[in-house]
Amino acid sequence: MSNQNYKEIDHRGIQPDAKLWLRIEDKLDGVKTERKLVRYQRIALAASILAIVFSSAYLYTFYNHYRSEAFAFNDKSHPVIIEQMSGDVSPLYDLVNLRTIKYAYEGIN
Amino acid sequence: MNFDLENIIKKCQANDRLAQNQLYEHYKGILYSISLRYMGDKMSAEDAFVEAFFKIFDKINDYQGAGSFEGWMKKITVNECLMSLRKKNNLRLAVELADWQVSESPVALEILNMEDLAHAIEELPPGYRTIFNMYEIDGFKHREIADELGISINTSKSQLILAKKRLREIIKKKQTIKLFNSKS
Repeated sequence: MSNQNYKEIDHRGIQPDAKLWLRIEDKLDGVKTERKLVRYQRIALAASILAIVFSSAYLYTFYNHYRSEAFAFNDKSHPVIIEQMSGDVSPLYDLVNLRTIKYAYEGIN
Repeated sequence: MNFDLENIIKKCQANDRLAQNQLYEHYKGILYSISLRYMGDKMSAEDAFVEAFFKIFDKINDYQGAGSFEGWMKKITVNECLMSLRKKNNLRLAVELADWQVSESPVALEILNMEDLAHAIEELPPGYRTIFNMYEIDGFKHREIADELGISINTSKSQLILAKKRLREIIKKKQTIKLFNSKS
């Protein structure tokens, strides 16, 4: 018997259960939802990254502005501020002190 | 129903559910028959069939129009069945008879109708059934079977011989039962 004759075996008219189409549909719908979720997650992630970048840039500008203003104005007359801002402190520490510097600067003005 | 395959494929690529259903209705019989042939039982065949059709719709954008679409779908179905059999660890092909010569005599397979032959194939152990299906029905070469199943070419050849031997036994048994029933 040749392959060609054997192939008739798949043309016997066997039909699968009608419920199987519903299972396939469910799977297709599931993947659709999953892909939508992944897309939303990616958008949310990109938005978060942008928000972090912009807020960091904003904070950096804000920080630099008050820092340089404070330095210029309080060169000798306000040693406390200078002391707070100088020395071996991390930028984060500087940032924490920013409110103090800002209030001091505004108070002096 | 007018079946414009090219148009239906295009619509399926755009995730048109109606077109997907038309494609399913047109090919469900043949692909289910392949699944049943490989898996041997209804439940496993249904699982493999659902997975195969899902993959067909999911990967339909990969089909570039080269070769027959039916062939492409059959290949996906066969691969899905093989994967499923592998997962169930049903492809035990331990016996290697490297020195066996493939000397086939025309056997009783020819006097059976397709329905009986299909049932006889389903009764084969999974390893034999897989190789018989791949070589005799789906036209794989021994090298391709060896690559696909991770076995040697000789194992593939010897398993085919053993599969045919077992198939003959099953058919003989079936014929004896038939003969007995017709006489009584």
